[in-house]
Amino acid sequence: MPAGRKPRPPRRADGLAEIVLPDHECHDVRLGDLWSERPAALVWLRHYG
Amino acid sequence: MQLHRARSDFDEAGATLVLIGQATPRHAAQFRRRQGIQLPVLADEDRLSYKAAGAKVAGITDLFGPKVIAKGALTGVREKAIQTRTIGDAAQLGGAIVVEPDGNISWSHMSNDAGDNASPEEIIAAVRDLVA
Repeated sequence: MPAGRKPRPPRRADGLAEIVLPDHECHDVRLGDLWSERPAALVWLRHYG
Repeated sequence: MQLHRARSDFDEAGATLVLIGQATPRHAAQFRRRQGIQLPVLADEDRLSYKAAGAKVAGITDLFGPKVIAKGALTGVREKAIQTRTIGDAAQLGGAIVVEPDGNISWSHMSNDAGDNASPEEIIAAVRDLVA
């Protein structure tokens, strides 16, 4: 996304569901699995600092 | 960290709470240790999920505007936290969403500037609205 453009969250999480990310212990987590059985709150940090 | 302190509220509301940061698993582990948090932290070095969530890349006024600076200072005092070295793209903003089991995003708050963050209470309220 070009700098300064307003955030555009999607209405559905389909584009997120197949993304696989490692957790803090290097275990892969498929995002869609986080909400497959119950609601999930995902929080993107600006940075770790 | 406020979200860490509120983690039991998410459990009681029947929701999973996950943090995502823009660095490596090692950085995520260091962040957890330094902050003393027990929440799962995912590492998105390539920021794929940030893009998919529609997170904003800040312009200069989104990072250093007077309101942003003031809010950052206030948060630092309230949390007794000091900003350490930034890891990742400093212009990348974050945000939060609540996703239903069918994939519908029932609530979202993606940051519009560096001081624009949803509070844990707002996120929990969104979860409770969903499960009510």
